[in-house]
Formats: sequence, C-alpha cells, structure tokens
Amino acid sequence: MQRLVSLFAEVLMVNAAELNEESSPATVREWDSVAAMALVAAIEETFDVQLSTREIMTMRSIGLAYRVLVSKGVVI
Amino acid sequence: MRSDDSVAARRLAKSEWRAHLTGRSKADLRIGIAATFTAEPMVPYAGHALVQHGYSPDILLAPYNQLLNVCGDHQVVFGNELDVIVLLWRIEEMLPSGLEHASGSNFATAASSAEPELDIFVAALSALRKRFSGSIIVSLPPVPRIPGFDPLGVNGAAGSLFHKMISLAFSERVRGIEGVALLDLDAVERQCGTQAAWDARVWYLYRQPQSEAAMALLGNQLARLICAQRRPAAKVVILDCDNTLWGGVVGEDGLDGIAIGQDFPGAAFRDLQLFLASLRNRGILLALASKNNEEDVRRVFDLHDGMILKWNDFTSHRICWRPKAETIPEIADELNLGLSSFVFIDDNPSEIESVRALLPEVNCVLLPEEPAHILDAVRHLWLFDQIQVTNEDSRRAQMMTEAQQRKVAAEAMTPQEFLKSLNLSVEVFPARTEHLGRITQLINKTNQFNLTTARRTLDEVRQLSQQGLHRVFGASVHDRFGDYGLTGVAIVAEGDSVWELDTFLLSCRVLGKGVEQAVLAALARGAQASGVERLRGFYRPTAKNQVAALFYESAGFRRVGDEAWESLAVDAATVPPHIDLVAGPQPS
Repeated sequence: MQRLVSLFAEVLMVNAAELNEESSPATVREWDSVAAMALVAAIEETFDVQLSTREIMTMRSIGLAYRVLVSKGVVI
Repeated sequence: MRSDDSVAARRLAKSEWRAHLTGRSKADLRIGIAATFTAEPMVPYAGHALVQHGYSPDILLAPYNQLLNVCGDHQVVFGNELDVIVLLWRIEEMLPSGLEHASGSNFATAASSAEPELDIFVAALSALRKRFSGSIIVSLPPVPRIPGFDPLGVNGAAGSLFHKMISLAFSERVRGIEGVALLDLDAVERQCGTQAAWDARVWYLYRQPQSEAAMALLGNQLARLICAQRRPAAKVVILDCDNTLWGGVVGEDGLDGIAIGQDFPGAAFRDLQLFLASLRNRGILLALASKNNEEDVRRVFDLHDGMILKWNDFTSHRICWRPKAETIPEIADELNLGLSSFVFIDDNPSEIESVRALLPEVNCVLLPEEPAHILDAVRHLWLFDQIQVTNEDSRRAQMMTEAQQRKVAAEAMTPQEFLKSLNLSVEVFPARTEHLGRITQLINKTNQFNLTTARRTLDEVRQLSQQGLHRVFGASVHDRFGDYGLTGVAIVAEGDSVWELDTFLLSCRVLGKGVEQAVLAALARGAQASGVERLRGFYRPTAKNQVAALFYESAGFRRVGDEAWESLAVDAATVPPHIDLVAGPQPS
C-alpha cells in the first residue's frame, strides 16, 4: 500500500503523509480530472498493467485502486 | 528504442518535469496551448524537453476547444501575455460538416464542403497573427478516426485521401500568413505507429485521442519546433574520417580496403555523406579533423569513386596527429565563428570525451558502433533545425570560401593597400518586404557589432517598416571576391531635427573594412536629404559588443548622455576613400 500511496503523492505533487487509503478526489484538492488521467498513466507504467475502462472508473480512492491492482495479481 | 526503454524515459521525463514545477525558477518562456481535444498529457513531455534545452517554460492550457476564442483574444483565455501560442486541432472537431460526407466514397466533395469551416479558422488565425507578435504554431491534423469506416477496409482510402486534401488546403492557406509554423500531428502519429498512437480507452474516458506514447512524441516535437524558432542552427560540422566518413581505417586497410559505396556497410557511410551534403546545401559548413596522414586521406577523396563528398566541400582541413581539442579551435579561428556553433562528429569515444572535456561549448556527437544506425543518429538531431532558410544561408558556404581567398590576399599587402584592393562597394537601401526575413535574422543573431542589441520579431520589424515613424534600412556589401549579401541593418526613428539610430548593426563578416563608416555616412546623407540636421546614436554595452564601444567616438560624435552620442549630419557624411557608396537612402 505504501508504494501506491507514494506514487499517488508523487503524481498529485502532495506530501505522502497527507494521503491514506480513504484519499479520493473529494478529499484531495489536487486530484482533479487532469490528475486522474496522469494517475492512470503512472499506474500503468509503474506496475506494467493495462487497466480496463471499468477498472479505471472503479479507482475512486487509493484503497479502491489498491484492490483493483491486487485483483489483477499486481504485487505492490 | 525498446518499449521498456520508452516507458522508463516517459516516467523519467514526467518526474523531472514535476521536480521543475516544484522548484520553479522564474519562467522565461510562456506558452499557451489550445486544442480541440484533451492535450494535457503532452505538457510534461514538452516542458521537460524545453528544460533540457535550457528554458524555464510556463505552459498554460486553454479550456477544451477554445481555438477561435484564443485567436480572438488570447489574453482573456490565458489571463496572461505569452511568447508562444500553440493551436492543435483535429478534423473531427474543427470541420464536422465536411466529415459528415467523408465516410462515403466521395472524398473530394467532402473536402470541398469542409472549406467554409476551414476559411473561418484561417481568417481567425490571420487575425491572431496581426495582433500577436510572438511565435504561432498550428497543427496539421491527424487522419480522422471516423466511426463510419475502417481505415483498412475496402473503401479505407477515402478517409486518408480526404485527410490529405484538407491538410493541403490548410497548409496552402497558412503559407499565406507569415511566420506561422506547422506541427504535423499526422507525422507524430506515423512516427509512433498509428495503432500505438491510439488508445480508445482514454478517448472515451477523457476525450484524449492519442495514447501516452503519442503524447510523449507530440510534446517532444512541440519543444523541437519552439527551440528551432528561437535558436540558430549549428554553423559548422567537423568530421572525423576513419569509421565516420567511411568504414575502416585508410592508413591500415588501404584505399581498396575501406567501405564506402553502394553495398553495406559502405552504403551506411554513403548515406551519412549524403546527409552531410544536404547540410552543406543549406549553408552549414563542413570541416575535417582526422588523425591521419594527409596524403592517405587526400587519396580517398581524389580516387575513391564511392565518395559523395569532395575535398573542396570541406571549408577547412586538419589532417594531422595533434589533439582535436587543439585543431578544432584553430578551425573556429579560421572561420571566425564561436565554438558553440560547432558540431563534432566522431566514432571514437575517447576523442569525443576529450573534446567534451576541453571544449565544452562544442556539440559532440558520438556515432553508434552499428553502421546501420549511423544515419538515424544524426538525422534526428535538433542541432541542424532551422525554420526559415533565407538566400543568405544557402550562399554561406560559398561566401566562406570567398572569405578564405580574401585572407590569402590580405597576407601579402599593407592594411591600406589591402582595403583599396578589395574594391569595396556598399549599398544602403530602404528595406522592402522581401528583405525583412533576413533583417530580422540579423537583428536576432548579431552580437558583436550591434550598437543597441535591440532584438525584434519579424512582426515587430514589419510593423516598424509600415507605421511611418521609423525607417528600416538594409546594407549590402560587395567586393572583388564576391558578394557578402545583406549584412547591415539600421532602423532610424525619424524626428523633425534628429534621426535616432534605434538599431545599427553589421554582420561580423564585413567588420574591419570601414563598412560601418560608409553606412553611417549613407544615413547622414539620408538625414540631410530629408532636411534633418542631426544624428543621434546609442551604444548599449553587452557582454559581446565591445568591438562597437568606440564607434561613435571614432566617427566624431559627441557624447550627450550615458549611452547617447550626437553629430551634425553634415559632419558624419564622409565615406572612407576605399569604399564606393552605391546609393544613399532617398527621402520619402
């Protein structure tokens, strides 16, 4: 989980300490629609996966993103 | 590049761009992008490439599909003044009514039905050009992705032919607007591979019609165009011989043992020579620096029929056993050019290392060991990019050879005898439209004999020449060895009793021959003919223009301020005796 939180922090350009499983576009000001696109690209490039549109739309918080990646067999 | 490598390169570019944003220094390049689609993912790539080339860019994106509004008033859209405006469009959004017809097989009808929409866009673009003095970059559209057909289907050609007709019609219209550069989105997609350039997921989710890989290429390409618009191309390429101009080592393998010609590996070296020949045609000089016996190298040039380049295509030769870090500066002195305008190409890593270490200004290119990759290694370099090729550029190589002949003549005589023997003639004339490109080029690249170093864009120069408050003059110089072309610029602010020399510069090619006095005299005569009695000049010191510091003083001007000098026109109207002043500026 910590590796995913760091990745989100890096892309959103916020301090990792401000983020947790519950972090979402509703709680993080920097997580706007442009950042959402950058997050998808960063996740795919970092973990070498391809996300389906359904999976992308499911990732509405860091915890949900974590679950999607785990379900795809990604070791985080 | 393997795909793992390019993913790693993309991650690195984005992370370095974020680091730049965090520790942001003051922006020196403000870029506004408007697109008919979601273009945000390209920003980190463009930004990163510009940072690597020494800029500190600030990149703003207009809201989706605001191109016409940006053309109407970019400040309202971006809330800021800009140096560069970038307009990216696709046929799908910009020309929807033409597209409706395009899925049928009659692409020509479709293209003509798109023309009214195209005309509206071009009119807006031309209004922007009149209003905005910075750089404008506009895209050529990618091939449209139309739900109605399959690009590889039996009628697939209709869509791509429609796209070609639109691209042609648009580029022809844009060519009528001066100073608009084209960014070819279709070329970007082709370079990426049309399948790899498309990611249907992000299209449906975000209206982003290009994959991350294509966005990376697009960002790089934009940065490349912006750099090409703002910096001069390299002026000289210095080449090694063995395993660079040909395969093998002539001193060991002999004339018949080296590889150069139609067959591989010779063909790879031949292609490099063809590439170099194209540079030379564009006015970039070639020179040789090789550790060899000159006789061996001469024999290759004289006798080997596989060679494309001839000995005389090289303006300067250093075939000897001394270090290249020693011979390259000699070539620079000989050609009177700064080391930063030099590119050094060699296959030997240790030669490259030592030149890099000792002459850090020289741009060093290490050729790949694999001959098949040589051409691509040099062809994709940004160093030779040049957006406007003027007549002067393409004649430069020839003019440099003439300059060498002048040097030989100089060695045999006293300076006065030499000047007299040149039969110099100087013509000063009011600039016409066709001169403005070259004049702008001189205004922006002349550092040494440039009294005020006032830089201007083509648009600003054009405005000055049209508004009636200024006069823009060009000066061309000719001597018995040949024509130096348009090498001097003066911009005069006209007053009732005084002409102020807002800009006064000469290319260093004609310095030291009294040409500057002749041009000044021509201006003084022009002022007199207009009933103006005084000239006022300015010297604004920079790090590079000390050569001009004493100019006004030596011409008899009186200092009237920190940077200002004055003289009666009548006192400044004397032309040096060895120069023939062909025609002075006429009163308008």
